[in-house]
Amino acid sequence: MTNGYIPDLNPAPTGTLGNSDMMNIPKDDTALNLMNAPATKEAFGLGSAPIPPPRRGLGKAVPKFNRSVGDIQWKTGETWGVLIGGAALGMIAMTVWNRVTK
Amino acid sequence: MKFGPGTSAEHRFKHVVHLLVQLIEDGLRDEYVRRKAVEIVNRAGIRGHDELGEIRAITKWVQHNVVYRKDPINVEYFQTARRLIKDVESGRSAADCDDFVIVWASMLGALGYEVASVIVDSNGDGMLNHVMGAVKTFAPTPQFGNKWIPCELIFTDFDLGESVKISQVYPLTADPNTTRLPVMMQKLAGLAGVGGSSDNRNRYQHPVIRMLGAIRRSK
Repeated sequence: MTNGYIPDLNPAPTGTLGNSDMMNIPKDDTALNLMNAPATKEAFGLGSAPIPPPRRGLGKAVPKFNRSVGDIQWKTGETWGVLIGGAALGMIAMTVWNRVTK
Repeated sequence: MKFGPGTSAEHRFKHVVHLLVQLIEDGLRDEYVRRKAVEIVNRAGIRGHDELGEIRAITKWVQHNVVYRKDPINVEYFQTARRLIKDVESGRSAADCDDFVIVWASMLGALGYEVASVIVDSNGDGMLNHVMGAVKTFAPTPQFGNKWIPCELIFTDFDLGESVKISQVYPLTADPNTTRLPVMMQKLAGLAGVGGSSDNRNRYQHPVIRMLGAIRRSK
């Protein structure tokens, strides 16, 4: 009994189904030449993309080595941040100490 | 994408080209695509900074792993790079020249290269009917200098820079900095125009979209 399924008694051997042995396709470099022709580059804006310059903001993040380590720079926000943060931390520490000890 | 019988060849061509470039731009920013590209070049043993090595490895992978199948007549199927890579991995890939270019350019774009799709006349008769990829290295190479390198992807034995004889090119570069919505999300965003355009009057609309349009009109 085949139970509805009819087996293929003469299966075609694989590899003989198509024409994958097609003729060799002749190769050319016309695409390379046309793509890089000045007229094409101009018409389609194919010049190389410029490497973007570093953003201005980056300068602040880059350490400046022409100063001595530990020099205080009053104009930068970092100095004021450290001073105000330190003062606030000191006040909190003093208040807590007073509450605990007195 | 299916075109109506009255669609002009120019309109059809512009639509196809536009979508093709957008799918490349989406693919090159897809992390899945980048991971696959990195896996391919690492497995090929390409060292860092070997730009032609990376390009050749990706090209060979696409040529040898994606299976070429024609689209139905008058129908243009497009597949995202991610979808095609997954199909390759599960042994179910079926792609024509534009899909080859999408996945190839997406992977090279994901590795940081300038890429373009190049529409060409593969019969040399001026009729644009085929798509190739093109890529550019950042550093000049002894073989190609600073030139754009076209790549034929659907045949396994074509090396970088080789093509069939052509007489016309229509190159379009992918813009990695684009801020538009990805193609797959644009379709959802298209609901914003439901019921508002007279152009849609004679076209088929999904029942849900028709209902949304009716609700909007009643307000």
